[in-house]
Amino acid sequence: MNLWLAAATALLFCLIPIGIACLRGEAIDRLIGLEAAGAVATIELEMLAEGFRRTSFFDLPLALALLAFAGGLVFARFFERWM
Amino acid sequence: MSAGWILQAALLAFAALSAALTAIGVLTGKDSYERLQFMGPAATLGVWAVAAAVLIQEGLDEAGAKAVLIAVVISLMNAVLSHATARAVYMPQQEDSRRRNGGD
Repeated sequence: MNLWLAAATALLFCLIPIGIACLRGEAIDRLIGLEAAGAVATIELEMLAEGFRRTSFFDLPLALALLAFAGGLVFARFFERWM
Repeated sequence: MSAGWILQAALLAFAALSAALTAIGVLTGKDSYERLQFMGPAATLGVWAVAAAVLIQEGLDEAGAKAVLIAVVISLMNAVLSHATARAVYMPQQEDSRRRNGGD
């Protein structure tokens, strides 16, 4: 296990409290948990891509960053208008 | 153990700590605004620390450029997303208080 994979493993545990936050509270607080999970998962995938020494895997966190933003924005607009 | 390796280790540890701060803050924040604020460490500091570590490892090749692009995207998008989410929290509260005060 190299440095990157060790850091990725440590980061994986950060997703546990965020997952718990996504499972409780009001809908808007769950959305905040989802947005935080998107940012942390992006960093996680970046570390895994570097850890496995596959440059092409960097496309995955880039796609996730863009899609998590779009998804979060749509949810936020939905909550603002309809909830 | 080279200086580059030590610097990478420090940057990755910093990124992991900032993600841990985000995780704990999102879980224990006392209201929605505070939880939103705790998204900052991972989305601004953490992602740039990882991008710097990738740049040290790879240089400014394809992987380095993509890491910087990811950091730029996450940093900018986090600001927009936080604003939109805070607005989604604030507007219904304003609507409720206006209704309670007899507005239409």
